[in-house]
Amino acid sequence: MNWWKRRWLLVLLVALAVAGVVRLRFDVEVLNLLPRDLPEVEGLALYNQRFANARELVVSVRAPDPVAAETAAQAIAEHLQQDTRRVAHARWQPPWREHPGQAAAMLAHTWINRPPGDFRHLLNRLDPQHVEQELNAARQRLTTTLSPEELARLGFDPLGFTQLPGEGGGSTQFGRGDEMFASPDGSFRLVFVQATTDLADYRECARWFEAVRNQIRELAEHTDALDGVTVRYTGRPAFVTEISGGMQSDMTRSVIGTAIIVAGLFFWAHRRLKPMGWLMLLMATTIGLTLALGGLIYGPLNVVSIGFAAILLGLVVDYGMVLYQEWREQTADGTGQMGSGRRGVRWSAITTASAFLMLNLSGLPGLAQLGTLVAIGVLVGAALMLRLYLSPFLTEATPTHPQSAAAPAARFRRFHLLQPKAAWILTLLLLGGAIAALWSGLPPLNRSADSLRPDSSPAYTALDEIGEQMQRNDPSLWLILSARNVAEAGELLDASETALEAARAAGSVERFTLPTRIWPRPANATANRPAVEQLLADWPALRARVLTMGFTTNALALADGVMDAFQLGLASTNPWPDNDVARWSLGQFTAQTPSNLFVMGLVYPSGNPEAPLTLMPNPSSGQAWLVGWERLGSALADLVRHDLSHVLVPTLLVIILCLSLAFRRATEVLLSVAAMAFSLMTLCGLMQMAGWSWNLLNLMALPLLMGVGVDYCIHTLLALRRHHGDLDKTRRSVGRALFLCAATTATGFGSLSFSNNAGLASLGQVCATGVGISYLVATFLLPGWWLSLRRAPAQNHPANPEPGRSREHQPSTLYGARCWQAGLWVARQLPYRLLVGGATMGAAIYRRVARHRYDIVTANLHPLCAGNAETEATADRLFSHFAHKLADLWLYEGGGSIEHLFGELNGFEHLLAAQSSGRGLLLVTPHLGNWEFGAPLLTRQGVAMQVVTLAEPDDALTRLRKESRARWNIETVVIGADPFGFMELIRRLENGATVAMLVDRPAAKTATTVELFGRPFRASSAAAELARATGCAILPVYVVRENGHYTANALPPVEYERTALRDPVARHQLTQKILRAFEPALRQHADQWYHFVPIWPPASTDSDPGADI
Amino acid sequence: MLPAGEAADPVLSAWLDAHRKLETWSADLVQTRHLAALAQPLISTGMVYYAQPGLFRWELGQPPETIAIRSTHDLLLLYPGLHRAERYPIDQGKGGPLRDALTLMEAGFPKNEASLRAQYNIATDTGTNNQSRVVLEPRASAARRLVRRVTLTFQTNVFSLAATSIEFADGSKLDNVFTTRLSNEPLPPQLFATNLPPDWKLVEPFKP
Repeated sequence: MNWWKRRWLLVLLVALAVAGVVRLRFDVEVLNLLPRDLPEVEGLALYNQRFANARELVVSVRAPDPVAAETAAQAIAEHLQQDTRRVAHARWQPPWREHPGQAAAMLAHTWINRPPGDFRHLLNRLDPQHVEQELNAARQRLTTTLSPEELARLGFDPLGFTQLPGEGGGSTQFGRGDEMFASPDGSFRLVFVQATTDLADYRECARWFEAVRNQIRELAEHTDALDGVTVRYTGRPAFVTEISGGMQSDMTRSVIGTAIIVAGLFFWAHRRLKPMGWLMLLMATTIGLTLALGGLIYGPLNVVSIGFAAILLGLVVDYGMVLYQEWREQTADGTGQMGSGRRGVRWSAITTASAFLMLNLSGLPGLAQLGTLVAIGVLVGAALMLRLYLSPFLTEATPTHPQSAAAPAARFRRFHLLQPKAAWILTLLLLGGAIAALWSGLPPLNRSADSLRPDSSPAYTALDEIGEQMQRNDPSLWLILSARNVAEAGELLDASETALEAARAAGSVERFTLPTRIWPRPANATANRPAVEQLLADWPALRARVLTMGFTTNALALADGVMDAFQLGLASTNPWPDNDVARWSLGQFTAQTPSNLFVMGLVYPSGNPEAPLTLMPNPSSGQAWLVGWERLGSALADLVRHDLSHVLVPTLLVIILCLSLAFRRATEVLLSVAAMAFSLMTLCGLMQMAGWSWNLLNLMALPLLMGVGVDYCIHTLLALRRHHGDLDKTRRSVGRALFLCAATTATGFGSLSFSNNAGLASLGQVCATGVGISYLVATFLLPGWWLSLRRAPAQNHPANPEPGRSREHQPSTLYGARCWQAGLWVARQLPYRLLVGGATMGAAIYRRVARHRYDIVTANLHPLCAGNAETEATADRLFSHFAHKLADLWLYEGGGSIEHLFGELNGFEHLLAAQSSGRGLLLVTPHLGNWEFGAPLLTRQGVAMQVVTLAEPDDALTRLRKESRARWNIETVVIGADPFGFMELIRRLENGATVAMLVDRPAAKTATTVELFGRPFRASSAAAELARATGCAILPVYVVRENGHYTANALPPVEYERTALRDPVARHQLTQKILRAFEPALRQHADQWYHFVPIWPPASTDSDPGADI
Repeated sequence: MLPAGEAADPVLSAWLDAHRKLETWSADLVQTRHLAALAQPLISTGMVYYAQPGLFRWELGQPPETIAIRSTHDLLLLYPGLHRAERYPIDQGKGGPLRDALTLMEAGFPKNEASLRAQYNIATDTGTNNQSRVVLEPRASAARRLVRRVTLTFQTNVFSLAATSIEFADGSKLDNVFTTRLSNEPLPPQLFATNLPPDWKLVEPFKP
């Protein structure tokens, strides 16, 4: 990518980030964590949106006695009411107590919408014949009643407008309307404070809430009205302030806490400040970019998603640590190559991001968002680490202290992996402990929505106290009805009432409250209109009659108000009265949008509120929801079941697939699954002992823990294989890496434990504990299990490495007789192009699946290429060329025609000249191009050929390939299998034969260290030995594929002084000379130099060229 | 009129002391209500009974039209004409209008001096005819919303309650004059019993 492209890309990224930050919002609505397609969630969201007043703060006041509570509530309300800029109103008692006149309008509205029979009954009571009796009865009650409430009512309403037919029979009705404002004992009261603005933004909400709190603090300081009084706050402004503040502090605390611990671990492991600081900076950039991208994608980020930051830090820091550690080791050993580490980070990021993206299969939008954010963050973090992290250090030729790469390892030496016996004892102990802990059952599943709530929340404490003090703890459900207009809502209310009455009769509902009686009934209002007009006409006479019977105008205040409201109602088309009291009353049970009218009622079930309750008789129009937080439990339980199957099962399948690809052995796959199961069982046991429970959020730890657990198992088991069960080497190679990864990941998750969100905190606890357990099981128990179950290695099996050589030094297990025969069979069946296409595809798949082989190839090519990019590109071409070569080889060995594949023959004159000398001719070649084709090519030229090979990985393959060559009259001499093979070779060379042999991958016994491309290289000394023994001519040759054909190239013979070859140094120099002759061809055709095992000796075993002479 | 501060007031102390020694008390009652809604006062007669610890029975009307019985835990309102009763648990209803009702009935029968001083500003007045007055003004503004002042009149020689007067915030006034006062005479326990005849209808408005 050129400079301009990079610049434009940077500009684009910055623009996207800015757009993301602009769109970024914090969503504090708990219900947004749940799927909106659940009716229970939809209904609750509707309740929150429409009936829980977004602008209303609830101030609770608890005092030692009712008088003090009332005094405090009134003082708070009156004090806040003075702040007209912020407070629209503050209510401490039912509004009709403050504005009794306005209650008349509500009363008139109720009367006018009553059935016509009721209104006729009122007219009847007030007609001249009956009104005297009505007033006398009122006077008599006023004389003897002992209720101040009744005294006030009758004094205010002697005509009985407040006595609606069918409404309660209590004559006194202490506390009517007060239950919303005061507890039954009066010592606990509520003040409802309404903001003047919508408080749409959480910052505005927080500012307003703080201002109100300060007002109340100021009141407490300057008066004694709040002495001994406890004031608490709840309602949306308090919740929003609290949750958004919690989110910010969660974010800050977890990010800073994790960063400090990660920095500490890094410094402990490497003792370097500069890389540590740079790592922290890149991690901060990762968080910032991820937040911006999250904002760009989602806009508002919910309370749970914010937890991504800590998880991200724990994961991304691993990449930096791996890259840095590998760079230090490579720099120290002088190879300077970073291929495997980079590929590891790349694939690890892709795998981790995929695992987190699987959380999108969850039914919980909050968790899906968390998964996406972590996935984005992991990819961004990996990209930043790969591109930028090592850049500042690459200019350093060598570490300041070459020995420092090994120094940190010393700090890990005190850790020892457990021998099988100890591992099994510990396993049994842990198993016993877990079984004992789980004897009484698994940790319980908390099905409630509590896990979505803040853990310690003053606003929730206040809400709980209100429930307790106001005796509202009985599990009520909200019935929410949605209709298009008033008439339709009335029908819905009637249908609901009928259904609820039936449910009450059936015993499933204890009681219910619906605003059916005061709901506008347009038909009734129309029918009552003449009666209202008549009452208005009669009112002056009736009024005079009341006064003449000894009542004062005080007694007529309500009646006058009702008549005024009747008058207004006749002229108005609005079905509702329009005053402060009416608006407040209606706001308790109705809400209106441009298209819908919502009505709310309360239903008290007789038994379990979670039990299914079908109340609605399927209304033909409109919608109904019967919802409550308790009722949400069963819906959430279904969701959890869905999530467990839809997230856990795919994750498990992916894991088993990964394990199978990684191990290709059932035993190790089963051991890994067993380790995961054991870790989960131990985790459950610990949870049970600690009294933790599963909940909606921490259940999602299961797929995450499975992913992490399997990662540790793979690393451990592969290390055990690589080191043939050597526990000490295993500890040295993966112990530190796993410890640091586990520590940082557990830290990332663990920091969530301090989150204010209960679910997120429990997710953090469970994940941190689970990661720790998975690490301990994989590191300390699994090696013991593996060693116990390991079969004794079979001798001469190609899968088993030679003593002293690791498995990576052995050919692929695919290089065996069966696969080779299958290849030959396919080559015979398929057309050439299809054969090549299939082989190319197979090589591409193998390159991705057998990552370790790809890493070996890139490491082999590194000295021939300039930089990582060229190395990887060459490696990619190499796999493609090798597919071609394999297809051609199978075609050749399968008996097919390969004539069309041959191209030019260069330097044939050197071969003819060497042959004409009468000496034997030794053709030496590296594993370059299709070296096998050299023999048939020369045979075609009339040269009798003998090929010297090492034994193939299995005898059947050796035999198979020998037979294939024989078909072309090429004789194979296998060195190693036949102890007299070398003698026979000498004899033939002495007789002037032409023999071909490979020189760049020697058997250990014939290897000598020369220099190739400036590096030590193990080459075969056999050519020099044969030259000494026979005086044969040595001709370097190679066959490479160019422009679709194989070109054979013979180089000038390698000259030597035979007598000097008695000296081992001279033989070594001859070997060096032979290898040097190939350097230009190898560099030119590096993508055809086929070595799938390491060819450069590791730094620790380096020896100087010639040192082994 | 002398304010009865925190220091002991001899008249108040003597009355409270006499009240502490009161086991039972009963009297005939004449109640006069001056209501803002009516041009003329309303007068009714009845009986009042008191027994330790804090039990009351108020009967208004001849024959009684309203009876209020305050037992240990409940306030029971009986309407004999309607064969109807209402029960209010006092523990759950110490606030609001029920508290107001209790104020009307309990005025003049304080539990102790501390609770009296906690609720009211107190002033005493040594009047004539062997009568003294204690004027109670609610301390809390919320309480003053209903009752502005309570005046207790008692015989100085025996410290027996002779009259109460309750002035309401809206200007209304309720005067009780007690005659035929009997102190520490045995009272039948069924006066304070809250069990109802079977044909009566009981309503408990505070029950959900």
